[in-house]
Parts: sequence; structure tokens; C-alpha cells
Amino acid sequence: MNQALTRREFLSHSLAGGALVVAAPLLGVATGRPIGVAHATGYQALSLLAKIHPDNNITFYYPSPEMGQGVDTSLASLFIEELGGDIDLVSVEPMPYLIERNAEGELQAAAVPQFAGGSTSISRNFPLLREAGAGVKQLLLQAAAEQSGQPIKQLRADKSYIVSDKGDRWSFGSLAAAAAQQSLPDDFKAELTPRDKWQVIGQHRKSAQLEKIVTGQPLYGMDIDYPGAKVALVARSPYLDGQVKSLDDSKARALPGVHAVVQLPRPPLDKYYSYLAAGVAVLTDDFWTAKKARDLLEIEWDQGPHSEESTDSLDQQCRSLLKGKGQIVRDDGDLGEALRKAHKVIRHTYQLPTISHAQLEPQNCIAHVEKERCTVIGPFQSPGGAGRAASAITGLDRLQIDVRYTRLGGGFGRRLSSDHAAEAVTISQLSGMPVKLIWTREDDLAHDFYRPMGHHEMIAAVDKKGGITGWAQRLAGRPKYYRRDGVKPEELFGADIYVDDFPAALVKNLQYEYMPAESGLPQGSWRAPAHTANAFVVQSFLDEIAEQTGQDPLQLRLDLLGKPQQLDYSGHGGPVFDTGRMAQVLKSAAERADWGRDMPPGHAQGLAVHFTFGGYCAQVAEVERLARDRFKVHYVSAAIDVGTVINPNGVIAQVEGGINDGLSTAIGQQILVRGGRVTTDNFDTYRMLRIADSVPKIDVIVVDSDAPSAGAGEMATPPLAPAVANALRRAGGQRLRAQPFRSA
Amino acid sequence: MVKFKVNGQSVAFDGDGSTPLLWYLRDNLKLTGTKFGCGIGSCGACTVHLDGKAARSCSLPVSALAGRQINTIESLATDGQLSPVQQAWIEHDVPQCGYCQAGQIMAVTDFLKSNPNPSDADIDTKLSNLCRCGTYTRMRTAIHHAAKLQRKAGGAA
Ligand code: FES
Ligand code: FES
Repeated sequence: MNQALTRREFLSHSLAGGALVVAAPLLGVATGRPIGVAHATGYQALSLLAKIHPDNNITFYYPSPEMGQGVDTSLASLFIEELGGDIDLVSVEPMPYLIERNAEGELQAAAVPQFAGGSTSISRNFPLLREAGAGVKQLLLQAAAEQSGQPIKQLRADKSYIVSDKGDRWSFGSLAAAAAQQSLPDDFKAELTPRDKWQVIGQHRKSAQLEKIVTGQPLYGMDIDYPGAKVALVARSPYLDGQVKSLDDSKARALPGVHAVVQLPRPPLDKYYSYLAAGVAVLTDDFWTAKKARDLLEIEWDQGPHSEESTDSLDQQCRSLLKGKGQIVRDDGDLGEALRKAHKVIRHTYQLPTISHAQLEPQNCIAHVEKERCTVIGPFQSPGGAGRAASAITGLDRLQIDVRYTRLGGGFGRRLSSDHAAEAVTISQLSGMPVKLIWTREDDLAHDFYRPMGHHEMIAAVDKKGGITGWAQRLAGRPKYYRRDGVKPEELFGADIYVDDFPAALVKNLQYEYMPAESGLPQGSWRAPAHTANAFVVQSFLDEIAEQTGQDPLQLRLDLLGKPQQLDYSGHGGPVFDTGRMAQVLKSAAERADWGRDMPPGHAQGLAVHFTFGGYCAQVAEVERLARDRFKVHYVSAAIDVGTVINPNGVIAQVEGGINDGLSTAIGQQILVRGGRVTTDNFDTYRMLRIADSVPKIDVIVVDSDAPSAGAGEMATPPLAPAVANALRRAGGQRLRAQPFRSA
Repeated sequence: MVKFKVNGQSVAFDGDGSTPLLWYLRDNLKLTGTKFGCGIGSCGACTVHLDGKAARSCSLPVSALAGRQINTIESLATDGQLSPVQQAWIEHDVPQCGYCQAGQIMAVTDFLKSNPNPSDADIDTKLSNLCRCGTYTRMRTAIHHAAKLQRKAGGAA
């Protein structure tokens, strides 16, 4: 694909308001094939990538939605590096979302993916944005050569100027108009700057939109005003898959400022969700009126098929599932034989609860359905998904849907789903009014695509020397793929057990086994999905083996990893898992923390490491045991290898945030269900970390690497919980095998 | 009719007195820097200054505001000059998604008035705003930095 994209049609550009306007190339939505520029005219119609203004400022339109992971900053660096631009002259805006249909009717979207999830924004944009920058630099060089009569070979770009060997300097801005007249030669091939010459990539950069944030600018979906939009709140079925049995809305309708009340039917139970729940929407002038009107609705609920479900019943179910047999999804060697021959068999069960995304900006979305068009504006990780949802509901063509995405007040996977778009579009269609849908916190915690819960039974066969000769992970839990279209029953395990995960291929006799549990809770992707669970159980269990066999936890892991080798990894983050890179982060984190040093009584170190989506992260946590189930994490050293780093400051921020997030979930978060309804529906019962419990000091070692860039948003969360549990045990505390660690 | 001041401007509200200040600011005045996070006074995203003291505006009915002075994040920078806390936040690149940060900055600004030279323990006991992105570690550094900036400015004045 890259080669094809270096052809001249990769870039299209024009002049508007004196600025050189650069548009992103398009890709076939269905084929992923580059298809050049369909419209020779009107670059408005293409996705904007950058503008070079006459005053020499640059606007960069970042393609992936920004939710705190720093892509507005890092993606700009890729483009500016190859452009030879001055990064300090750059301001950023979100790239308008646009799709088109070519002459053959094929849908086209920008080749730079307008999607944020799975830490893919960097890896997918890495070559594309650099080639685009190089192309634009070429146009500027050509323009300068033509104007000055100097050979292009004697010109180069330097910090937003074209500089000649003779000593002339022309700002990019002064060349913008002339560059717009240039076109790339047919045989143009971007020559990318070699790594040792990088001036922008690899440098510490602060977030591009800091000043707007600290002054309270309207950046988020929640802040958007849409002309005529009525504020909508929905009374959703509190019962999982329940529906409205009877409704009396007379009191609500009588309230001044209430414009409409509409019923949202329950989404079909045999299909994937469009929106999450049946409900009744009130459309009003403002939030407070909507809140009061919603409280005045008199609704009797049909409690649906899960009214007996509770947290306890789900745990019971998993316990009995573990007593039976499940689907063997990986089976290496002969586990039975290894267990029979073992010097010692170690066996423990771990538990992970259901947790919610709890991004701080509650769900919201603006929608306006008109006869021939539909507008959807909101915090989307997947603008394309929002467009698909709107098209499916309205029956309008994708090109008639105008999707605009805002900055997200947190994503964490919650807004990979487009249920907020589907719900807002449905309400607008039913009411005939433009709406601004707002969820309250109660709505947000009680209606989510939750991180699945699960019980993991871990079994190890150990020989006389403490070597691990057999390994089994048996998981009974709620599949993330629940209700997903097109997923066969035997594929349900796929998002909860990644078959090539460590220690696969390192222990000769190894089995992974899966038992899906039944529940009405919707399931989805939560920052580093199943890795948060699997890192906890695998890394905790390794420490239990170390303890029972008298080995050092670091050495045991290094022995298991063995000599550096590249193992096949078929899941997201593959195609290889490099044991050498994992060993390296372990050693780096241990070295920084001075692993094994003397600690005061009641204090101890614990470590853990995990491979997540192409990145390796190891952590050493230093923990002090306090009374009962209390403890304090004083320090974490973290080493991360995510391949080539674009913005080390951004990576460090993601690691620090990921560590506090990991601690937040480990300590206190748990969604509880009783009588088929979620009962933990605000921050009084759904407990999240505050500054008092956060980690006051974190050292981050960013391991420099030539490997492809892997993004950094998810890798630091999985190792934290096991590192803390391991430290606590080494401090003389109980072995914590169930999250959340704090009972109340 | 309730009369009070928002960012130095006199305002009068004759709607439902139970309306929380948060929604009056956001819906009526279009001051959207003050954020909605929980609505129950738990997360602090909605923190404003009420007569100079940090207050969670989601839990403050407008009816209680007669004659009071409200200040929001929009008024923190004066004449384009960012406040010490805002400067420290930029210096240490605190925000991630940023949604909690206006509330954090308002809470810390008030906190530093009564704790001009805070210890970590002061921070732990007196600040409780939620940051889902986990920016607490940088926040702590930035709070100490802001305190230093403020002491310097105070000393110079
Ligand atoms: S919105 Fe007011 S404290 Fe959370
Ligand atoms: S920066 Fe995202 S919630 Fe604090």
C-alpha cells in the first residue's frame, strides 16, 4: 500500500485564502485500496490534512479522534518532520470526517484512519503522514526553484523556510500560492528522513491543546451548541434487556419547557446493540427541565429475561463452570502427563469483576435528522461507526450523513461503540426535532459495554528445580463477544483469551481453556481489553510459583523467557512476540527500582510485565502495608518498549496515567448487579482513585527501539495490579486473588 | 428573582430556584468551561469559586446565591495572563483528556490560598477531585510548582 501511495495522486492540494491547502488521500472503504483523487475540483470535498498560511503558520488537521492519548500532538510531529516545518508554528484542529463515492460507487474514506482504538493511531498513520509531509515539502521546493531559478538540488527545507545553498531564505507561507500551482512528478517517491536526522520525531512535546484546556474552551461534545437542539434525557430500562410495560407521561408533558416525549423500543435481543436499552426520552429546553421531566415519568417496567441476575449468581455460575470442562483453545504438548510427573502442582483461582469505563465526560451526542440529510456530532472514537449507525436507522445514504467528532472527555474504549449516536438519531427521527442527548452519570454507569468479569483457574506443574513444565489457564467468564454479529459460539473466547499470550510456546505443556458464562450485561472493550485480566492472573500466579519454590520473581521470569527469540503472535499487536524485548523491560524496570534492595518493615517491592498490542511494559511497585486491607503504593518504576517513539513526553504521560488507572481499578472499581439491574450507578458507590491514593512518584524508562511504533495508550495498565498484589504479599500481606482489593 | 455576580457581571435569574448553578452556567450563560461529571458533588468537575472558595456547582441551587460572587474557569486568566496554577499546569503538561482539569485548577487555586506551601499530606487530605485519566502524579508536581510561582509573585508584590 505504501508504494502505491507514493504516486503523485497521493496528495491533492489547492490554494484557498492564500493558504496552501493539503488534502489527505482516500482509501476504498471496502477494499482498503488507495484510489487517488476522485474529484479534480473542490478540495473542500476531501479530508483536510494541513494548511500552510501566508503568515507562515501551519494548521494541522489530526485524523484520529483525540481523547487524551495525545494524537493531536504526535501525528502532527510525523507530518512536520518530513515537511521540514517548524513545529512551534503549528496549531491543530480535528480533521473533518468525510467519505465519498467514486465513479464505481465504492465508498472512500481518508487513507489516514479516522479512528482511535487499540493503540493503532500511530502505527497506522506512521508512514502515511510522513509521506504526505515529504510530498508537500517537494511542492514547496519546486516552487522556490522555479521562482528563484536555482536548482532544486541546492535547496532544502529548514524549520518552515526553504533555504538555498546561496543563503536565500523563503518562508513556506510566502511560497504557499506558488506551491499550490505545482504538482508532484509522476515518478515522485518520498525520501523519508533517516532516524538519526530527525528533529521533531523523538522530541519531547507538550500537548498541542494545553492552553485551550486550562482556560476552559469548549472542546468537548458536551460543550457543543446546535441551533434549535432540544436537550434530551432518556429514562432507560433499569433492568437488563427490560422494556416499557406502561407509561404515563402526562405530568412530564405538563411541565413548561417540555417539547416531546418519545419511546425508544427495546433493541432486538438476537442482534448486536444499536443503542443499549429500551427507554423513554424527554425533549426539553435545557438540562434541568429534562431532569425534572424525566423524574415525572411514570413507567412500569417489564423486567425482561435477566431479572434474577446478580453479581453473586454470576460468580456462582463461573464457579460451577470451572468444575466442568470447557473449550480447549490452545493445547501444546501433554498437560496431563506433565501434571502427573510434576514434583509439585500449584493451583489457584483468581477473580476479576465487571467494570465500567467511567470516562469523565458522560455520553452525549447531537443529532438532527432531516428529510435528505442527517447531522451527528459527538465524542466518537469511531466517526465511521457513528455514520453507519445513523445510516442504518434513517435509511439515508452514508454520504447524506454529516458526522463531526469532538475532543473526547475520555474514551478508554467506551466510544468505540456508537450507541450514543444511534440513540440520539433515533430520538431525533421519532420527534422530528434536532436533539442534544445527554446522559447523566447514573445513566453512564448503569448502561455500558462493560469490561467482562471472569474466574481464572491457574494450574502449574513444577519440577524439582522449580522449572515450570506444565501450565493451564481455565477461564470461566462473560465473553466480550457476547451478542456480536457473526461470532460463532466456538469463537466466543477470542476477545478474552489471546491464544499466543505469554507464556504460550515457552512452557512445553500448556492449555488454555474457556467457558462462557451467561449474563445480560453488555460487554465491550475497556482499555487494553482482556490484557487487564490476563496480566493480573498470569503475573500473580508466577509470583505464587516463585514463592512456593523459593525463587526470585525476577529471575523466574527471565528464566522462563529464556534466550531472546521471536515467537509467533497471531493476535492484535503481532505478528511476533519478542521474548528479548520483554526481558529487557523487566531488567530496566528492576534496575531503576534497585530490585531486591532492603526495605523497611511492612514495605516491599513487587513486579510484573506484560505484552499488550505490540508494546512491552514492566513495572516494579513499592508498597507499604497498612492496617487491614489498606496499603499505600509509594513508587512505581516502569519500563516501556513501544518501538519507535514519536513523543517521549506523551508516552511517559500515558504510562503514568495507565498506572494510576490500573491502581484505580485494582483497588476499588466493581459494577454490582442485583435483581437484574446495576446498582453501582454513581461515584459514591462506584469508587475511583483520588489523588490521596495515587502513586506519588513514577519513574518511566522509555526503551529506545527501532521497532515499528506501537502507540502507548494501553500498555501500562495491565502490569500494575499484579505488581501491587505481588508487592503486598512480599510485604507479609495476604495474597490478593480477587479484584477489587478493597472490600469497602 | 435571584441576583448575583458571575465573573464580575451582574446576573438575574427568575427561573426555577432549584436549578443547580452548573446548569445555569452551562445552559443559560453558555459558560461551558465548568463541567458536568456526576451531579452529586463527588467528582469536582464542576468546581467554581463561590465568594472565592471552591464549591461544587452541581450541588448548589441558584436560589442560594443571592448577593454572592461566582467565578468560573473562564475568569481565571486576567488580561490574557494565565494564573500561576494554569501556568504550572502547562509547564508540567498535566491534562490528558482534559475534561476534569478546569475543576482541578479551580479546586487547587482555592486550596493554595489557605495552603501556600502545601505538603503532600495536605494535598492528599484536602483535594479530592476525580481524574479518570490518572494525571494525579503530574498534578502533584504542578501543585508544588504553582505554590512556588505564587510565593514568588507574592514576595515580589
Ligand atoms: S459534577 Fe459536580 S461534583 Fe461531579
Ligand atoms: S484529564 Fe481526563 S479526566 Fe482528568
